[in-house]
Amino acid sequence: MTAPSSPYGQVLTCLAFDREHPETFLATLDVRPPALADEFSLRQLCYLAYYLADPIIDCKAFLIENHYIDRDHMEDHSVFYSRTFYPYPNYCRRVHFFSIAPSEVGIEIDRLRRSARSDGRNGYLKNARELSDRIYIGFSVLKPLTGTPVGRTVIKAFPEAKKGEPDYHRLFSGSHTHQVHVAGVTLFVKGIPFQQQDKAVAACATTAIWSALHRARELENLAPFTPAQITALASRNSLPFGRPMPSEGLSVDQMCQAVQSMGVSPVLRRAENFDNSRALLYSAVRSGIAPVLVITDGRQWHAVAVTGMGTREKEVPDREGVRDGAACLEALYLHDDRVGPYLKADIQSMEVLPARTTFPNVTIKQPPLVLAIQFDQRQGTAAQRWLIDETDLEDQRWLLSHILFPMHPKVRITFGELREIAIQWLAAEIDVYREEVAGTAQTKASSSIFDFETWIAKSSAYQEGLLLRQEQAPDMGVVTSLAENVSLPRYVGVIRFEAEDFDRMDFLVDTTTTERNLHAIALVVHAATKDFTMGLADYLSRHFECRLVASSGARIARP
Amino acid sequence: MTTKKEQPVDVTLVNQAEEARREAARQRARDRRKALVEPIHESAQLTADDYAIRINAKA
Repeated sequence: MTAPSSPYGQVLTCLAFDREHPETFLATLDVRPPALADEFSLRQLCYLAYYLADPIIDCKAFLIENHYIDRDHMEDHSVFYSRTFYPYPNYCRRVHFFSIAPSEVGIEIDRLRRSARSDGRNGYLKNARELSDRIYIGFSVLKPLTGTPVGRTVIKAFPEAKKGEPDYHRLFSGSHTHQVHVAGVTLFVKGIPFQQQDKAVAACATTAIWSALHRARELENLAPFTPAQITALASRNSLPFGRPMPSEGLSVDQMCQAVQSMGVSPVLRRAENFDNSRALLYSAVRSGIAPVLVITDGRQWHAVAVTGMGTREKEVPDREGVRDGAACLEALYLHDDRVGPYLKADIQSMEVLPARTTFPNVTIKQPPLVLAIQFDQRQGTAAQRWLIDETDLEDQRWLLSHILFPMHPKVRITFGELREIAIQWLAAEIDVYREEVAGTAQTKASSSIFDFETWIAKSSAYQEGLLLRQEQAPDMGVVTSLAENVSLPRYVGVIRFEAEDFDRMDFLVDTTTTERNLHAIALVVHAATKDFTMGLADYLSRHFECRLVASSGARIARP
Repeated sequence: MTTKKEQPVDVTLVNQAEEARREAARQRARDRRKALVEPIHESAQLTADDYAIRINAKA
């Protein structure tokens, strides 16, 4: 790494990204692992290069800032690297990625600068957002640690739709917008930060928490934190495995301590069986939360952050008359610090006996959830499966052992409890009503399947979601009535349900109470096009003592 | 000709019978789906062993 001639000198270099040979990106950056490092030490950087080379991400140029002060590295440096014999610099390089040719990058940035003069501040920011959407892919900080160079990296995720597979959808609900200042202008990128562990200040558990808490931080304006701070908080009260730095790994207990110390509640759940684990993961990602997964390959334990999910529209058989929306969950996208950001992991169920043989270090009583990950380790490169010959790929299977949900402290209800309300209370009560209606022949009640999904949302986000144009959007009168007549807590538990014989409804649950004192807030009826809808809604709202919110045309007077 | 006077219906008893019928239906619905929900109070209780897992995968 060459330092600028003056301590205040900045050197910006824009170069072409060779999509045909992504590995040349490493050579251009002149990143070489130390002579004593193993051959895979640049795996994450290689993965990043292949990710950027994908035709959908479509990177064509990268701009290197030669002198960049990174908060995380500065903190790591102050507590660790400043005290090594090798003189590590306290500054980094930062690389920005663009989907236009290098010759155009400077022109576009210059045009944006000039727009500040002509369009004013608001116009400038609008232009910056538009430009970012069009050409900016994100950035990666390159730390002066040649064995573990990938620092804070925020790059955009793949789009929701998957080419050639119209029934497959990606959802990166935890992604949030980052403001980036480069070459005197502001750019924006949406993503969840990633970085690799250095085994000095951070281990895999540290970086997984670091990634996951960025989302919580964005939701609640928490103070910024670094891997060094997480490690310090995790080891403040207990040191079961030796010294905190160089990091010798964290226990689950220490992970929870670190999350709690950040002002976020660690809700830990054991992943006992495939169905429940899948349901919890679906609800969490649907809620925009990035859970941390504790996984094992039978030999070692690992932690990764969930950043998104892949779902597939398909016919799912019901179970006892209910059909969980989580059944369409097919894959998770992980920030795996051994590999890279947005690593796709297929979720699979495994029979108990083979699971016990494959994962002897875990007590398995029910078919567990297994993550199937594929990557190429032989060449020290890791890539998503679509880039290289599948015969080169190594299959890895990791059993999901625990899920750590970083929740707002006032969200006392859990995803499991919300699901239990849906199945054991709501679905049951609908059965009761159906029997009653069938008995009086008031209307033709069928025993159609109860489709539902559950999630926890900030009340403002939930209401915004109802306002947005979407398929099956509720009547505007419903949204207005909810906004004007119902008082909502900061977070609401949402059970969205529908069936063939009644319209879509949202059952809103107060998240601030515990399971013994649960309260329903409102029943939001999206539309009243089916005969059965309003009668059922009225019955449910009376039974659960909650407000009925429906459009004025279908109104049933309720106090 | 005298008409037999109608006996008054005991509303409380009717309501109680209705509620009992509902409760039975509710319980049936819950029982048949019991296996679908997480057993929060039993096996999912976390122990010290859960918190003691050491996470230290090789990078």
